[in-house]
Amino acid sequence: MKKTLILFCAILMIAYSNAKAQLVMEVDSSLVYINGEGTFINVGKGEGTKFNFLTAIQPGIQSNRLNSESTLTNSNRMSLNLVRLSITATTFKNKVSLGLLTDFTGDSPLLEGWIGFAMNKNIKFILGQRQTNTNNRLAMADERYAQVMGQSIAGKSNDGIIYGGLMQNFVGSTREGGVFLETNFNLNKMRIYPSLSVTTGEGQNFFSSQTNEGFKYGGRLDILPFGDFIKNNSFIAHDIYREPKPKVALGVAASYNSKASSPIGSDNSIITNIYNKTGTADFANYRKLVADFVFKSKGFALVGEYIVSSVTGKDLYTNSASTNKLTEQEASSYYNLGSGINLQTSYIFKNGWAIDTRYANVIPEFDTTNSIVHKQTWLTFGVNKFIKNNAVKVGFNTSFIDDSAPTITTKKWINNFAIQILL
Amino acid sequence: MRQTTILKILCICICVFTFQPTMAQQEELYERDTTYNLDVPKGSVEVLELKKGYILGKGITFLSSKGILNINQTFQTAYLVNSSNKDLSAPISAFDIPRARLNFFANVLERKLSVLARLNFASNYNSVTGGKRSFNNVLQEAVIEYNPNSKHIINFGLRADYIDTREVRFEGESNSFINRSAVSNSFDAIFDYGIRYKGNYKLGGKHLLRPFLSLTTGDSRSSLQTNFGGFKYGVRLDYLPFDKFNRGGEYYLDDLYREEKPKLVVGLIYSYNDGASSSRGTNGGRWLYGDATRKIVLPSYKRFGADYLFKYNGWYSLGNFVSTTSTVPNGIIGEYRLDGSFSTYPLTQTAEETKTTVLSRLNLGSGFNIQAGYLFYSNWAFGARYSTLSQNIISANFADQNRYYTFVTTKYLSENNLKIQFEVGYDKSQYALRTATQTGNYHAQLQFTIQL
Repeated sequence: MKKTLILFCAILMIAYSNAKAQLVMEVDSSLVYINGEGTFINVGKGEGTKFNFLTAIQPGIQSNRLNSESTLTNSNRMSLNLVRLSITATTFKNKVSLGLLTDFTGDSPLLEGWIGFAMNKNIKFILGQRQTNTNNRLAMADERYAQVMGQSIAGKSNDGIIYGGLMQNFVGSTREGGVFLETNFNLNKMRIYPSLSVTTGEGQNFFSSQTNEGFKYGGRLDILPFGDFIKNNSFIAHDIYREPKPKVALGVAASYNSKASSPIGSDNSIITNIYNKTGTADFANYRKLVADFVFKSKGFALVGEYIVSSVTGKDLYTNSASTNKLTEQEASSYYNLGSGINLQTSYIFKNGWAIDTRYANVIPEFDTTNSIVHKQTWLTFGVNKFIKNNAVKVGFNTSFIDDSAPTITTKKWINNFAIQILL
Repeated sequence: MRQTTILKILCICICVFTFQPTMAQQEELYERDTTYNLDVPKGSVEVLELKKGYILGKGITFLSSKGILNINQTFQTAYLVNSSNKDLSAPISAFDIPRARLNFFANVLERKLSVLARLNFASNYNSVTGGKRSFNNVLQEAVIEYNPNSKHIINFGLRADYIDTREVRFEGESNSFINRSAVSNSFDAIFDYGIRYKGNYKLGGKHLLRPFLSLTTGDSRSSLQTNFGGFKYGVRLDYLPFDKFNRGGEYYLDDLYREEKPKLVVGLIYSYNDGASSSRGTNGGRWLYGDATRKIVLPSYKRFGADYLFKYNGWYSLGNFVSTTSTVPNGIIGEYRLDGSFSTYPLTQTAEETKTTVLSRLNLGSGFNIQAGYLFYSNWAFGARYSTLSQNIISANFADQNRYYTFVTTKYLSENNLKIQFEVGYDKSQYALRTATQTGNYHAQLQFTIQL
């Protein structure tokens, strides 16, 4: 009898310990898929290592019409707007993080690659290539979350449709390599996010060594008076998470690109024919000042952005004999100088349908024949349908671009239809 | 008695009820996993399980009863600065991502057959060689390996060569310095496509002999598009007099596990490339020559080397020597341009001048590298390296700087899976190139490595 009871108890214990072991196993390592956010894998309990894999594919069709001095040109294009795999991971209890973003539309697969070290919950140090903090708000959102779907090649938009006129003229490449310092703290109910960076000032392509003539120094300050947005919603144009309470973010950013070798400081060794006193090739310093805001509430979003750019530089010449000084006006033919505003608004209905508009106005600092920046007006209207959170997005958008250079005026209509899947 | 029987039946019933939820739960789990109606023969489907526990660097592992699937990501980011001036003026700096590699490893058939693939995202789809002979650099390894027993391994595909210097046996992420030495950079092809054999024989006592044989294209990754010339035949012979290194210590530098007894491996390498089309085999198809019938004719490229690795109680030392020679065939009358057209040499060009032209495109000469380091108990490591290159009078230009002095310090936060390295060095120019203000290149680098 006694033996039977002991046997009974032992079997019960084994049975329950099995069930318990199973629970422990689930905590130890898990694999979860979330619509629109990809696959999350948690491995091991010790260091709390987490992986996230997210793939994105966006095929699209575009038709456009160019009216240049009353001459009409029509063209069509089919393209893979985005083909990406992103891998992010955190380990050592969130103290060490890694981000990789690949793209298969350009010459190199690597768009972003960085390692982050968190000193504590409020300070994080990052080294690598990523979207830099010194651009406008929407330049810090990945193209997968852009309000307007369109073609990108290696993270850049040739026709500017994805981001509009402001970024087409004053940002170019959103990603840069360098050192970033991110901080955050509370002030009453406000959230404050100051950040600093020292980057190459030469855009992306960090994967291969590049000569840095001079670094780009910049910073950004974001103030969120009503607290944090859901996830990365403060940098996305649409209110894809439908903020339950009104949220606002105000931001300012500034950068000083010492010896910029490209017109927007987003590329490497593009500018030629600027010389210093001794007749050797040299470059001007490119400055940008940015102010922006975003308001979101229950599916409604309003974003406003402003950028102004200028150059500085002592003893710069346009000939190797160092006799023709580089004037500010002449500098506008080497660098993108001027200002731009971008306003966009959207509303996502509860059933996932969204309507949106965008307006951008670009003003050159010097409205001269050789100025790279022209007077431009950009208008966009779009309709999108979000399915399964953000996992599937089907959309149509149409843009009108009026480019009024001193000698020639062109008008463009660009229409895009695209489907995006995030898995 | 009857009471006991009733109690036994009761026990069994309770146990069945107790187990039932667990079993049901497991069934439910499998139901969830198999949402597809798999119309396949019984035994063709294996349920994968996410491996429990995790150590940094081991990647994500899925287990089945037949084998494993492992996914592992590595990443390195660096900042470097250098100056060619003696007074360190006019420094040039650069940020860099040296490696961002995604590795897939799987084995099946009771672990006898394995597959390895590696993509390096920090790379370009277009190779250095342009035109019609351009190739994709992103794929670094794609190899199938058959492992019938512990003595023999045969593999087939693209991977790092066994017949390069010993430095290539260490992954870039497991190196004690930020970069490989100038000797490796000058003579190693690293990746190639072909069939390889590696053996592991016990000679009695603690003596081990490891022979490696390889039959490869000799054209590195360009061979995935076109094979140029004949094959490359290679052999490596490694001898370990004191048994194998602990915890794979033969495949990383710095003595992370502090060998309690001295460990040594000594190796000899020889390879013969029957038709070399690039300076050291990394860029196959760069130089193609033709005879009167426009048939491609290529020089042979021979390489001999010796190396060793020693580890003991936190110390390590590595040395390697390489020497290369070449033979140019007769009958070359011109060469193929990168656009595919043929350029005939001037009729006045002698056979000797043609031979000089061909040899001046190959890395011919020798190199010697020796390095040593010590790992403190605090996981700080220090190392020093000296390398020298000797370039033949007729050769490609690979030794403008021919004396290299490098010092490194590494803080291992989690072995080679999370570490910070700082390196300084001086690459001394050959005598004829030195000036009053410039005698070589001074450089410093900081690098972070993480392997997930």
